[in-house]
Amino acid sequence: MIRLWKQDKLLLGAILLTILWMGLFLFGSHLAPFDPNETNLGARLQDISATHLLGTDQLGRDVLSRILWGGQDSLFIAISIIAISSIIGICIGGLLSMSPWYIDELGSRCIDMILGFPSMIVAIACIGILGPSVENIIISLCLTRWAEYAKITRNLVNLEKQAQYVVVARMSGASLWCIIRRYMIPNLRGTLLLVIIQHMGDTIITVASFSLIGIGVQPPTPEWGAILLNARDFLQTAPWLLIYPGLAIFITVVLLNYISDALQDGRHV
Amino acid sequence: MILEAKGISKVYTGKSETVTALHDVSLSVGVQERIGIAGGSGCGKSTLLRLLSLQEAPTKGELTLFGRSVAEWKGHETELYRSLQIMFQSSFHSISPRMALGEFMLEPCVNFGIGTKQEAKERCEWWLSKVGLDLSVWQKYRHELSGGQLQRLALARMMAVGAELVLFDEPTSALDVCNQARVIELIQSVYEEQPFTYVFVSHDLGVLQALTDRIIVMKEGTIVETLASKDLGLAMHPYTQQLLAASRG
Repeated sequence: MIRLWKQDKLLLGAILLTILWMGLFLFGSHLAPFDPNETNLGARLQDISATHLLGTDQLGRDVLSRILWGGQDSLFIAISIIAISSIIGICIGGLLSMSPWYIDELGSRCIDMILGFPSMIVAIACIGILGPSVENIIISLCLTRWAEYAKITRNLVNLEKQAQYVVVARMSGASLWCIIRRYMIPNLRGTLLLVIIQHMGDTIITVASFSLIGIGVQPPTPEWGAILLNARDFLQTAPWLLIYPGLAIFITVVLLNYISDALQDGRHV
Repeated sequence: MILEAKGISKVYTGKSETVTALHDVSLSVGVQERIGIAGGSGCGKSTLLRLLSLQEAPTKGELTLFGRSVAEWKGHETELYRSLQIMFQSSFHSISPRMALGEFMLEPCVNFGIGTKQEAKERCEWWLSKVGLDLSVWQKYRHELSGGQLQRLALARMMAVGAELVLFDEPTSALDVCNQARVIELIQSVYEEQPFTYVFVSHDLGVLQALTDRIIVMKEGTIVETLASKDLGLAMHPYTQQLLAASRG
C-alpha cells in the first residue's frame, strides 16, 4: 500500500474506490432501504424522491434497493465463476507444465480444442440444456472459462521454468516444491491476478447479457441484467430504470478495467 | 581428475533441421586447475558448460564429474551441485526479481545444510565484505545493484557455498572495462584465498590469459587448439591467432 501510494496515487485511489464500490453491493442487502421485491402499485414509476432515492419501477419496487441487491447477485455470480474457473484452470495448467512432455502436449492440444469452440455459444447451449438458474450460469461459464486460465498458466510456467534464476535455484539445491513456492508463485501471481481482474469485468457483462436475453437470472431476483430486461419497455417513459442499473454495471467494469490497465502499464504486479 | 569428458557431442534435432553444437570434444580438468575456453559466438562454449553442469545430457560420449558418470549422477544432482556452481554472464537474470539479495545469498547454504542459518549468514557476510560489498545489500533487490556489483555478489555466494568446481559463463562480457578488471582481480584474489577448480568461458583471450592455466580454443563445436596460458603467443592454429589479434585490438 505504502509503495503503491508513492508510485501511483491514482491507482491506489481506484483500488480503494473499487473496494468501497463493491463493498456497497456486497453488503447491499443490509444497506437497501426497502425489500427489493416489495411491490407498491400506488407508487409505480415514480421519479427520484426523498423516499425512493433512485425512483421506483413499474411495480412500485424501490430501484436503489433492487440495484443494491442486484449488485450482490451479479458480483456473487461473477466472483464464483472467476474463482472456480481460475482455480481449476491454474491447477490444470500448472500440472500440465510440470508433467512429462507427452502429457503436456496432449493436454495443451485438448485445451486448444476447447478454446476453439465459441465460448458464448457453448455457454448458451449449456444453459439451454440445464435450464436458466444462478447455479447453471456458473456451471456453464466455468465449463468454458477454465481453459483460458489453464492455457495462460501452462505457458507462463513453461516460460518460468526456463528462466535463468530457476536454473540457478535448481543448482542451489532447491527442491521442486521450493521452486514452485519461492519462485513460480511469487513471479506468476501478479500476471494471473491481472488476468483475473480483466476477466472480472468481462464476466459481469456476460452474466448481465444472459439475464438481458432471458437465459440468466430469472425474475423477480434483482440481478443487474434482469433489472435491465424488466426496464426495456419503459425506455421512453421511465429512462432511469435503465440508466441507474446500466451505470452500476458501467462504473464497476470501468473501475476493474482501469485497475487492470494501470497494473499492466505500471508493472506493479 | 575432477572433470573428464571423452568424445562428447551434442546434437539438437528440430522439426526441420539438425544442429551439431558440439562434436567429439574431449577435455580433462584436474583439482584446482584453471581452464579457459575461448571461441567466437556459436562455437559451442555455452553448450559445453550446460553439459558440464548437467543442465543437458550429451548426445554421445562419456562425461565424468568427481569420478562419477552422468548416469550415476542422475537423481543425485543436488549432491553434485553442493560441489559444482555456475556463474552466468548476467547475474541480474540469475536472481528472482522478487527475492531479497540476502535470501538469494543464503539459499544454497540453507538448502545444502552448510552450518546453521546464523553460521551461513556470517559466512555470506564475510564473503560479501571480501568482494567489497556493503552489508546493506542484504535487504536490497536485484534492480538496486549495478551489473558489476551483482557479479561480485554472485561470486561471494559461490564462495560461501565452498564449491570445488565453478563454471564461469562469460561473467565479464556484459561489464564495462573498470568492472571487468575488478571482477578479474576478485576472482584471482578469491582463488588465492580459497583455491578451487574452475572453467572460465570467454571470447576474450586476454581475460583468459590473466585468469587461467590452460586455454582450450573452440570453433564450430570442436576443439581446435589447447595450450598453456603463458604460451598463448606460440599459438599455431590460424583461428587462435585471429582471436589473439582481436583481443589485442
